[in-house]
Amino acid sequence: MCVLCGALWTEQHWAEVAADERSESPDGTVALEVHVDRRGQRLRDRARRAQLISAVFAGYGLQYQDWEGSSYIVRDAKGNTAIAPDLAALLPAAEKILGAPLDPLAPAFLDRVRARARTSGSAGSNSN
Amino acid sequence: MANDRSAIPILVISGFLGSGKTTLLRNLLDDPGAGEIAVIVNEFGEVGIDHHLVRKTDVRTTLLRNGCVCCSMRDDLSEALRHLLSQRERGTIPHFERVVIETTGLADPAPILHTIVAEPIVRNHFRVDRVVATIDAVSGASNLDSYGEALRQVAAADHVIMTKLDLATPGVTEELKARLRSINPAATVVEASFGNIDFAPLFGEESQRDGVGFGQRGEVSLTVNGDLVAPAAVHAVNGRVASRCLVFDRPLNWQMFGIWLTMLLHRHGDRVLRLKGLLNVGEARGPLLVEGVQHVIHVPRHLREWPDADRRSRIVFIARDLDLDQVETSLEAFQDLAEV
Repeated sequence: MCVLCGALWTEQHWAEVAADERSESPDGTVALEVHVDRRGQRLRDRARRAQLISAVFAGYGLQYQDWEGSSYIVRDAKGNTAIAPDLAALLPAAEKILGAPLDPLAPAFLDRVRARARTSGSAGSNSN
Repeated sequence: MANDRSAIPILVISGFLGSGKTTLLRNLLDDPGAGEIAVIVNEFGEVGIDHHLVRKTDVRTTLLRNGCVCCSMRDDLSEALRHLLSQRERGTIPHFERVVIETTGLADPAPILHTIVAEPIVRNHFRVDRVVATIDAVSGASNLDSYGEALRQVAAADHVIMTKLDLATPGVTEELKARLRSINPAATVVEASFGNIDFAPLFGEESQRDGVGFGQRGEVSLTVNGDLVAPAAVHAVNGRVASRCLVFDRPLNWQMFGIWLTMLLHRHGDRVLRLKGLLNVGEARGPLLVEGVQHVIHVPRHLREWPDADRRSRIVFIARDLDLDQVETSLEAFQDLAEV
């Protein structure tokens, strides 16, 4: 639970769980130093993911922001804003703002992704 | 949180109506290697005869009420699992080492798997060990033609068990076997008559390791009967379902792969019947294992080592009405974006 906003989150999206984050001990506990070490990695992973999501969402004209490492904020150029706790919830929120489905197979969208890959010097230049 | 070693393994037995699930289950419970098992079964139809057959085996059986284990009944399944766990911990039932869930013939396996890997309490105490689908050698082909459920069950399976071989001609059997392998090249096809098979692969200790099972399988085969599945071969089944192994020479950016797959499944998850992949994410250690059924993705994990000398990423997709060329193109474009 987030003590600031009172949100209770019991789910963690699979793409946001590091593959080696699972405990190896029989009772499932994690040593404190391991936890602290992974916390740093989790934040670095999240920051990188934020860059990449921003680069992808730019193909839809959406802007993305990682809020305090705990939520995703997506907005359009008109200022419409939505907040989502994880990647899975982010997509419906973005579609609601966009008013259209996010289809990673749509040829027009892929053209924009390729164009951005060719021209952009750094993915996620819109992040934060 | 329970880890893979301490979590109670679950064997899911699916299969279309009349395909021999209950016969298989009865023989499995009689198998000396099965160990202590708790069984969860469905009652479908007026008589619930499956329930009575299983009860005769005198194992700890939980009957799910109100019909089948599908989307609307996931709460019943999680409740049944939590109840079993509670009873075991309190000692009101004998200790059991694993759970077998026998689904109804009309059940889609995805919601069942989703319940086990996503329900907050269940996922901390149980893990999906294997998904088995039975298919009737006599009427299996027509069921695959006519019923999407039969197709989804085969696509989701780690092991497909062909039953009633004694009633089918060798030609029909071989034809069905080839078709099963084209639908799900990642599954092993096992032959059974009167429900008699070697159950060791379903309960072997290998399942505790990298080896096998939903989220556990350590191999993604690039070949079917010696023929390369990827990347040019496309197997059209029913004119709608295709399976294919996508191969990528360069290491994949894991973060972008996660974003891409999440978007793909969000939009097209009901058409991705199954995916299973070993990913090279540019690390010196073993591959990253990704496995999913429809919208349900198991938490990815690193395997200790690659199964062979090939270090390329490979992902087997089984999809319905989905252009797998476009899937590959899309993943390439997303990866290009991650590299700039």
